[in-house]
Amino acid sequence: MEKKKRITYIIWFAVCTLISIIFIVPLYYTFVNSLRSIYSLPTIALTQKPEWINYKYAVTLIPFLRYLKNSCIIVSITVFFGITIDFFYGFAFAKLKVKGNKFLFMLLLSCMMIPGFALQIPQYIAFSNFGIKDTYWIWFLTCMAGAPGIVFLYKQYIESIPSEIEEAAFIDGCGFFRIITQIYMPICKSILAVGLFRVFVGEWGNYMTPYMFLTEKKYPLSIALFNASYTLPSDPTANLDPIKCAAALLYAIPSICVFFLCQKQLVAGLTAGSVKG
Amino acid sequence: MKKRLIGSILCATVAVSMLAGCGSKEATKPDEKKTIRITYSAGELDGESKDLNVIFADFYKEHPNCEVVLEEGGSALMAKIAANDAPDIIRTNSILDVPTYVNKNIIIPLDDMLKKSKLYDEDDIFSACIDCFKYDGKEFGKGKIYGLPKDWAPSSMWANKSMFEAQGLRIPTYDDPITFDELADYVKKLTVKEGNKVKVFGYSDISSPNVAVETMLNLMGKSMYSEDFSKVNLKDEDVRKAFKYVYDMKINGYTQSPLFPMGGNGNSEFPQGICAINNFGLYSGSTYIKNPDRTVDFDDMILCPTPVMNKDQKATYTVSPVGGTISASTKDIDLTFACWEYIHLGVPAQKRAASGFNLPVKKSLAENADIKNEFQKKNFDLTVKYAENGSYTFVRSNPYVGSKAVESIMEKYFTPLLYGQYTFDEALKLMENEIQLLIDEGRAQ
Amino acid sequence: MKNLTKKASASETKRVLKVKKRGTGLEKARYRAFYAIMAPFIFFFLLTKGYPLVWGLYISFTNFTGFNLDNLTFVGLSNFKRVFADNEAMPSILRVIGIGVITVPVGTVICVTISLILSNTFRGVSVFRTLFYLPSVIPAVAIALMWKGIYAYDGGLFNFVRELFGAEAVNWLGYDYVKRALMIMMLWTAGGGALTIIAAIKGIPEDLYEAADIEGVGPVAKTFKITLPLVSNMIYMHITTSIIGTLQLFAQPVLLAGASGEGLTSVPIRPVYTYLVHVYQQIFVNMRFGYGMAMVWVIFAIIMTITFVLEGTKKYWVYTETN
Repeated sequence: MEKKKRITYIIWFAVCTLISIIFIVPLYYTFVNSLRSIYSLPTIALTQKPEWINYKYAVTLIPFLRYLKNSCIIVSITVFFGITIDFFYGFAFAKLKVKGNKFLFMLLLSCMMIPGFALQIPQYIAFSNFGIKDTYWIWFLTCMAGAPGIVFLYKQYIESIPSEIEEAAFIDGCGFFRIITQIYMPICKSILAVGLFRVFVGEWGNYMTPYMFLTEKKYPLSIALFNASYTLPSDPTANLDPIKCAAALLYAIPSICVFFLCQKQLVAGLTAGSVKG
Repeated sequence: MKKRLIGSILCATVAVSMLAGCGSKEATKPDEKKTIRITYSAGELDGESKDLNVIFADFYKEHPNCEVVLEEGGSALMAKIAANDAPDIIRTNSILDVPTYVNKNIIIPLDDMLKKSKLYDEDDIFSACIDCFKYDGKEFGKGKIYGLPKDWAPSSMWANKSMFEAQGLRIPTYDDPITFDELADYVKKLTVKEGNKVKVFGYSDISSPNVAVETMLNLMGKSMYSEDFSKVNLKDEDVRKAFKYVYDMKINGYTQSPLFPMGGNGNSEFPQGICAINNFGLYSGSTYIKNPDRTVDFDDMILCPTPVMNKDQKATYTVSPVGGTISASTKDIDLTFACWEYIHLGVPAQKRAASGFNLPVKKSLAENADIKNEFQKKNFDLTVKYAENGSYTFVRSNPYVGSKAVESIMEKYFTPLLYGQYTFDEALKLMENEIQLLIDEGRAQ
Repeated sequence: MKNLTKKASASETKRVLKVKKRGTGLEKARYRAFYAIMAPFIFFFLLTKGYPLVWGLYISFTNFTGFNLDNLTFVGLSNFKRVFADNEAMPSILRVIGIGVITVPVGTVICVTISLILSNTFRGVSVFRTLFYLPSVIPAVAIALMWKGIYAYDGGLFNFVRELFGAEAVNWLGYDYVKRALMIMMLWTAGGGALTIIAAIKGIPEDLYEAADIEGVGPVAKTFKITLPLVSNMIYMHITTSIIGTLQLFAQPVLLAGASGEGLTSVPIRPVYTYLVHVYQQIFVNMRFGYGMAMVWVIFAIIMTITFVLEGTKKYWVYTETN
């Protein structure tokens, strides 16, 4: 028995390592290219000495702290709603199968089927008429309208939880609000962690909405990679790809940290006890 | 427990951020701070700093209580114009954008305000700079002035002396420029191929096919478009020849194309000897200096004028500089003009001149520019002389069709043409139909 | 044996509860709760999405070009007719379907396989999870930048490997290879959905597996008879969102293979010129807002149809608590 388990483990480990290499290689390549001089051509391995100054440039050529602060504001608004309001919506769609449920769900899903930029022009007109054009209230409004992907996620997960739980709780006299917050939320910790992570990564990298609605002072970090923020004042035509590579890697770090935090929730996960009990 | 902690931290963060968002909205009301919205990016304003407070320090001294705000141009600009909410100062490409903007009444003429301005001295500005923003609805160089460039340079190209001499070719000079026919011959000899891969490109040019073609036609006094821009004609013999010229260069690998790609835009390749001629103006000079992989000697890099059509034509340059215009929906015209004036003729203009990679708009700044690097200074002075004495022309640009739209159409058909998906005439016909359709739609409004 | 008794008690409870339901007003409470929760949704949805959708629909019947808001003319269905007559619109839909037909199944298989590999508790699994998940953590712009470098003609990773094996360097972003290049880039980030499926796998009660072990079921059968059916709900969701996302493919072709133009207005090369790229070009470059909106509604109708069809097949292979 022991030997069999050991062999399984080794095979598993080897397979995982092989796949990891495939996933890591592009990142390695980007790392190498972030260390080459901005006037050189793309390479596969460093031929000159590594230019760590590119990382310094990545942080100093843009008002990094300001953009970081703005990113944090936007992301915390979205994440907050992504794990509270969206969970409520998901529960309602999953468990409260009343008249109008299917219709509203189709309505929500239909948002996923419209490309973002198609909605942005009328939204821009509407928001600028309301006077909130260049503020973070835009995110508040769009989050309250539900993020279709996340609500869909919660709905699917909650649907696979037996209804006996809430029916039992209801008989015991619980209102639905308490059922959701005190019973379902603890059960769904792992999917909530996934939701948190999804929303975080999605909003951290969202450049289309800020591009359309915000002015430079309120830019989050995501725009910096995307537009002409990375220019050397002394040399506007220089192709700053290496610095952008450095910035891309720096930019991915917070997402990785959030992933680590959410991973722990995943490992804790759901146990069978809830169904039996 | 952990979830409660995270939950309460999140709640607190959201509450704080919402208050912050609220707070800033109210702060603007009592102060009545006026904002001026411009679509430049921070790095191109002054050549030194990216901090708006530093760049506009003198402006803020004269005009307290206002604030300059940067915004996105590009595709967001069109949406903003559609929403009747255009920014105040728009970063505009003179030749490519001004016709369409004027046609749609997006920008306003500045003649009256320039007359009253203290910073504007018509004699001290290169005439090419004024003419490229002077538009009368049909042609440049006549009519009202809509803006000024932030900087500019006459079109020139770089030639690698040793490569030319190795093939026994003559180096073009400002008094004796090269013709297009000669260029075609030269690049054939200068290109070095190894099997199917190009080791040395004869020519590097990143302009879109329609720009290259229009430039050639312009030097002949012709154009793709009819007199009143209502028709596009790609069947004309000369137009066809011009397109064929560009096509031949690309399909044979004398210049870069999807068939024979080159890593960069020529500025990294020229100093490494990967291309023999780099059609990229004074700009690139400053990148050659900083390139650590440079193998070509500075003495081998010669700045020379762009090709002309026939032997007896003088060296002629085309320009299409980027500058600023003022939008028609700006609310405080005097304040906006003051800001515009400051950017293009004031302190930032002096700072931009000092960096030496491009020519300033004012002649006085150009003649007194203090450039440290020898190589740069030599070429800078050469370019200033060319700017003052050379003749110039502007490529014709259709007011009914956005230049980006034409470029997209070129891209859509020219690349498949290179891959043999169309015959040459088929591609031209398809391009003509699509451009004509856009023109008709543009005129129908 | 264990699960049989569990099933029996569950259906018994159900019967008991059904009787009690009407008595306890569960239906009414459900109704009230649903609309109490959905009220903000309805309000904000109408505000931020409903109104723009209706505006877009209205515009698709006019000749709006961004500048003629004051003299719009109603053009009826001509914009819609144009979508089908346009020599670019229909081929670009076929193109994007062609890409989707490969990336969605392969991507789902990769995703599920990764989830299965990573849902155990072997030592080091969390490290591998992070490594596998890394690609989807990086924003799209950065990914396109990375892969552009990898596909570079000179000094790019893929060509370097090709030359190592003696083959000639190839223009990965040229006509012949760009579709492949795009698909490889998309599949590289396929591991993204693995997280949700791992969460679902973790939610499967242990005793099901124990019962299977007692009955002597092998690991392969366990996977196909227990694990996959119980997470089929999530797999279904993953497939649906993949299809919806792929049909709307826009940013990756433009960022990876965009040629002329800057930013999002660059035109990608013909094989990856997808439907939404065409829409974006019509709206933001050619300024044909009305036509662009008509195109948006056409693709919307197509996606809606596909989703409905998928929803219909749900009962054949998706296991939820109710069936």
